[in-house]
Amino acid sequence: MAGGSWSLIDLKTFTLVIRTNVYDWFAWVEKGVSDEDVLEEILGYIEDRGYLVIFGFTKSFASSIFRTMINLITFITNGLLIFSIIIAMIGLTLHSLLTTMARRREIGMLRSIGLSKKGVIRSISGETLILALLGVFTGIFAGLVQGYLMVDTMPAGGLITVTWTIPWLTIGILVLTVLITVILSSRYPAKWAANLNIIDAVRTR
Amino acid sequence: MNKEQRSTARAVRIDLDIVLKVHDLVKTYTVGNSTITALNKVNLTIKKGEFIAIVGPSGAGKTTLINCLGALDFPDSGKIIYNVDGKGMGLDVTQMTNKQHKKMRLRKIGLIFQFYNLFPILTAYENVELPMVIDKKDSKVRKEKVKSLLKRIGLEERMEHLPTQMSGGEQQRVTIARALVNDPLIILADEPTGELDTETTTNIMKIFLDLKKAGESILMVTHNVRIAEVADRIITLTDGEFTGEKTGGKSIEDIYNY
Repeated sequence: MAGGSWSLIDLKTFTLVIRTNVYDWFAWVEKGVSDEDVLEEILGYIEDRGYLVIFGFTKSFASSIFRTMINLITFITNGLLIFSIIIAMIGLTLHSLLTTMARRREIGMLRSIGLSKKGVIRSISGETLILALLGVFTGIFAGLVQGYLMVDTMPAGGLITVTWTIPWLTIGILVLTVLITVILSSRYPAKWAANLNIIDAVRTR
Repeated sequence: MNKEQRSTARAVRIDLDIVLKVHDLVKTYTVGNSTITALNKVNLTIKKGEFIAIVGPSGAGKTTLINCLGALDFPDSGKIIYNVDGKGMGLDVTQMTNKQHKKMRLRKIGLIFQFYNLFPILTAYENVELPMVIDKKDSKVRKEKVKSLLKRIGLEERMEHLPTQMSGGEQQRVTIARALVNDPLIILADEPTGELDTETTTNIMKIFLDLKKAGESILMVTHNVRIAEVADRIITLTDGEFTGEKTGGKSIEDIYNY
């Protein structure tokens, strides 16, 4: 009887069975299942093993545990997000600096025909912004699709009910964070480019 | 002259027929412990429609002079006064702010470089159009101007070509068109034929002569004494000082004995 995935009591009313390494059974007994059926299963198990440890809890208690787990996962994910933003900021700065250095001559040429320092700063910051926003919107789209698929695959009538919503506030904060990140990360490369000596830059081979 | 010493240039009167007046221009470079004088009290006046060639050996200070006149480099002392409005209002480049320098390079000075300095990802049309785009000119005006200039230099059929699809001479013609696109006061050409063969050099010099005929003022620096003879005046620059001047005005045919 113990071991393997099996249904308790009745497939129609059965909701969730999880076999873990800690408990032989982890069963959710739906309302309406007869006591006799449950008792029969328990007795059968006692006959096989000689003992039975029962840890019982209510649905609200179980769902609060699940919520705590989900909140913990969300907290860890947000932590990783902040970490990834810091990494992205360093990456953007390096990318922007390298591409700017590679185009040293072009920047010199543009300055020689009348582009202002502000124009150089604007073009480099603009390029970094486009790159970052492209990443943000691709990420938001991918996140929304993945979230939808995850919610869609969750069983209905489980311990907790999850509905798919678009987190506008989170998206707004994310876009704002990216904007600030872009401004900060493109600042140094843009200023470096704007202050290039035109003659030296044009002579770059 | 450093940034702190510069402020907004104050207008001075200048003769109507003068485009550019250079007075006691000095430029030095410090390399290690030694100081090199690239330009030593250079004086020069260029009149409207005049074509001047400055010749001299390598290291004479020709390019430094062009860079100072082109608001790309700052002299230690001296004055570079442009007749900015063509009506006698002179402004000293050495006293200008960065913003004014930018405006000078964009609208008043047409620069031509030895290595063309065209943008490889832009077509001939787009390269010529670029200064007008930077100057935020209307697209209709840009289109008309660029097309007429490309026609004037004989590259009408090649306007959609990239610089890599053009010969050196054609690229230099595009550079000339780009220099002219914002109707500058003067064209400053730094070794414009340095990378070109004799035939292409001849073609480029013919364009310069056509421009002169059309009333453009041109200052060209070159180490090629022969082609310099087409200019109205040929000035010799040696070790940062003007050491000689003679009248030119020869035709291309005279120079190459066609």
